[in-house]
Amino acid sequence: MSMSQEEIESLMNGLDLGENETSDQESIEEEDTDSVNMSEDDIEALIAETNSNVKEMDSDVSVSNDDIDDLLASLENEDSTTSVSDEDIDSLINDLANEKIEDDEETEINLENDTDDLISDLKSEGEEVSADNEDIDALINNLTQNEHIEDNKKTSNKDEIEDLLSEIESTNNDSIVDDDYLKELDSLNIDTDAVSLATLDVSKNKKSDNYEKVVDLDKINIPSQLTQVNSDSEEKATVIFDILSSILDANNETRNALTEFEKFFQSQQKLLETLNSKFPNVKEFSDSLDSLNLLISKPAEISTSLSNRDNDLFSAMELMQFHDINRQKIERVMRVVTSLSRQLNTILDDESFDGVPVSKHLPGDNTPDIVNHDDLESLIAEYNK
Amino acid sequence: MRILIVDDSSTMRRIIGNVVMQLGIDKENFDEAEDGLKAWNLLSNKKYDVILTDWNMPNMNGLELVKKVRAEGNHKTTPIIMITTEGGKAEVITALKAGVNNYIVKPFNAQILKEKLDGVIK
Repeated sequence: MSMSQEEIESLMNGLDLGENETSDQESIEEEDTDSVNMSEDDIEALIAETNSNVKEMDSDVSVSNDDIDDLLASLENEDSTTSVSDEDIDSLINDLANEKIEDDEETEINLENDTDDLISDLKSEGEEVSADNEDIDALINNLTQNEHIEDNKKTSNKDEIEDLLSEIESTNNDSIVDDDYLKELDSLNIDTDAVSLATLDVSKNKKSDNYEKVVDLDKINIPSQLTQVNSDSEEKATVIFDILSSILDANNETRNALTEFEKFFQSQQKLLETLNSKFPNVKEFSDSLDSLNLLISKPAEISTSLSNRDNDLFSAMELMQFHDINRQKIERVMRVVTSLSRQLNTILDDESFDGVPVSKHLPGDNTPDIVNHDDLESLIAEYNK
Repeated sequence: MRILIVDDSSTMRRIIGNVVMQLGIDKENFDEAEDGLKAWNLLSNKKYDVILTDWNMPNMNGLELVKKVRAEGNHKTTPIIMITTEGGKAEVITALKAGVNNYIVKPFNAQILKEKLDGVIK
């Protein structure tokens, strides 16, 4: 604890101010002068003693500051990956705390001693010295304020050290493993289903049996599936073609039947015309001839309609060409996929990677039945019995 | 008149066959082959008046078949019509230089095939 010059002067001024007061006070103060003078000497001695203690304390503090500076410098020079152990940090903080406590105690003791000396000196003069309580309080307050200032300085130093250490800790997160860090990772809610981290396995390699099967190759082999698509499409196209062809065949049969009808109608027309001409008075002949004339064009109309439907069928058959075109497009895709697969195999295949173990759980996975810290400790304790 | 239809797609063979039948040629008068190698075997054993062939086929593609037909065998002058999806100018030139008489790009209109077949037959 050090007293500033201003504080000493104020202290001294506080004592000098007694001369300017009332006569009673003056008389008392005159009486006190001697004692004051003596007290002043004592006070100066006290101050001198206090200063010496402060210097010692400063030296001690400076020593500890040097240690701290050395520690900080050593920390900066170290590799960034090097982490300060928790034990070192705790020990440093404890040292600082103990030092503060010791300083506090020493300061408090000194204060008490000084106060007692002051009071005893005053009493030893044998005069009723109504010690100026205000002066004493002022002395004590000054001493206490100085003490607080020193405490604040120590506290600020400690805070700076802790801030620095916390920065160092924050840059070494990788080396720190605790439950809070793991919990924080678990709270990130990573969609492991999309990433498939938990179930990610390497496809079965013919060269090595160390890999687990990623997917069922029989189910999602792309070229095989596309070939199956082409095959199924070809089969259905054939069925469609068969149906269209059967319709064409049916139309042809109908057209052939209509030809027969047309021939019959023509023959009947000739017969009725002959009968009608020879027997004009027979009304049935003329009526039948009229009816036949109305029907005789029907087969031709039906045949024309059938021909139009055949054209529609041919148009539908022409559109079936796109089945063949789409089949070739699918084959083009298969070729690209196969080529990509070969290129990927060339790029990614690495025999040296055989047998590399892969963790079943990584932070961020949604793996069920993950032990927390308490469960882990309990399991360890249980199995170590 | 006998016609040889060469295409790896059964659908295309039927489509072309229907067009041929529309021209009045009976089904018994045209044969089908699913690749160039089988077509060459048929050409080696039978006489055909017209060859209708695709380009992209397994085993032996259409271009190789045309070059082989024009180089050897008894069909060096037989009219060949290539029916294919290869519609690039370079491919058409290549096929014509190989000995193809006419070229049809899929998808084709049946009327176009009829006209070109009529022209070849006549």
